[in-house]
Amino acid sequence: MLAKLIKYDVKSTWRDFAGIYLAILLGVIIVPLVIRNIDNIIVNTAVGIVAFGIVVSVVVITVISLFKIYNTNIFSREGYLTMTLPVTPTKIVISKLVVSTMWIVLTGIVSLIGMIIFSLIMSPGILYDMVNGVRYVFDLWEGQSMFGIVLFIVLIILFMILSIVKEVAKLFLSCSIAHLRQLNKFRVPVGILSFFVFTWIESVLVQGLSRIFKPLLPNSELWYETMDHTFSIEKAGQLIETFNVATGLGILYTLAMIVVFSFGTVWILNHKLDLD
Amino acid sequence: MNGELIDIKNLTKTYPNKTAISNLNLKLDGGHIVGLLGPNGSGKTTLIKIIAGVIKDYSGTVTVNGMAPGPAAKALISYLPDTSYFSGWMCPKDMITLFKDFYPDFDERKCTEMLHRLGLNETQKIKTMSKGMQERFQLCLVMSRNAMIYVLDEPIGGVDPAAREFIMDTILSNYNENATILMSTHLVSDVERIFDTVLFLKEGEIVLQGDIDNIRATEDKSIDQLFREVFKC
Repeated sequence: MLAKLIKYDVKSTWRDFAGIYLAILLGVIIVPLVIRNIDNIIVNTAVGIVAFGIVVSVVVITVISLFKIYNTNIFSREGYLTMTLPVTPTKIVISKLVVSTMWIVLTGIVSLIGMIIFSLIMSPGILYDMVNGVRYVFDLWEGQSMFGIVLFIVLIILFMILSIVKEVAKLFLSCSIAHLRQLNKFRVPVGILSFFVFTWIESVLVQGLSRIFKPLLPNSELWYETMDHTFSIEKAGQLIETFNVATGLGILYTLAMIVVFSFGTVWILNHKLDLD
Repeated sequence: MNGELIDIKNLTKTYPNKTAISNLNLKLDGGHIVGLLGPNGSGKTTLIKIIAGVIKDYSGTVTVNGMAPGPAAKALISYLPDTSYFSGWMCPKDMITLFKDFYPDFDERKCTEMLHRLGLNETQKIKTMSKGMQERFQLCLVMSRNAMIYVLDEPIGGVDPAAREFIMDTILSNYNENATILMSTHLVSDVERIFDTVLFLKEGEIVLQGDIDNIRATEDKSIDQLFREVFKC
């Protein structure tokens, strides 16, 4: 059933994101071609404004689509279909988390590819500089453990993806709180305020957890050496180990928050749902 | 598990300025066509939404075929809300595929036949259909399931008499005869002929419940006349 829910959530949103990706790809090809080939300040300014407009549109449409995936599909008329399907609210929430995250990650990848295409068109020699840069970084790490570096990259990517899931789960919980019958009259401000209150609570929690766990990290003194510029590259492997443990703790924290936010959302759907 | 298809005990649903349902008790068996009758604001839609599972914030217990509200209970209920629930991107083919995916009791062939009888095709965007056509297509989807309970919220409200005939014929010729239909309406005279059981709901309470023939015999009047009397302004 979860796979079917995901299928329909993708079907309901792919058109919005296909439009965004087309706009990105057209923009990163046309804008640099115009700037490189037309020496006119008005045209270049206009093209720059268009490029800025595309960036803003990408962000706005992504946020609106995320909102639609959850809020419209559950709390508007569409909710009479979604919430009467023979599936648990848990599966509905998981489906929407998965699809939202998928689209955000894809949008990030397409944007990254777009930036590379933009750079290559603006300055074809940049590819050589990029390859040299990567080679330089690998030369720096010569002699260090490759496993540590690979683990570092994997953990960072996992942490970034889970952080996206956490933020989306927080957004869903805020939407659900805004739809509580008792807060009906103040739906929009309650939703926005809830999101910021959760973010503030998280920042306090992270500060507290950092104070507790930082001294317990292996080679934690290396943190301070990197800050006062006494750090030497021979200790890079040890620093990587420190980063990996810290990132691992960050992943555990993020997973815990995903569970907390999702549990809150599911609880509201199970006990406080009241469609208009 | 007891014999009742729907068993409601001490159901109360309140809103800030109003009590929509007040300490309601109800048992419904299978194989009946039940009219849930009452004026606007009497609590019919609220009761139906609670049974369908789109209102969860209430006190009391509601069980469907002995089960608390959940996926298994929802699988038994074919629900027609009083509003259209289609997304803008959908066409009839998408909805038919969705119902086929989620409801094992859905009869795709029956639905497609009804769709064609309405003069619609599967690839037409639903948002290009008139409101009346959308409502009729929604009814086709609901009645194409071999459900145990059909819960229909005001299916003939706001439609012309010809459309009402179509809707009533669609309901009567397509439902599972072992199932129960619970249909809310305030247009009593148009549908009285099809009910075998009626519930009168007034200000969130059941004021009359029973077999329609017995009620007619006891009260010596039609249900429509009785309705006008009970709910006289």
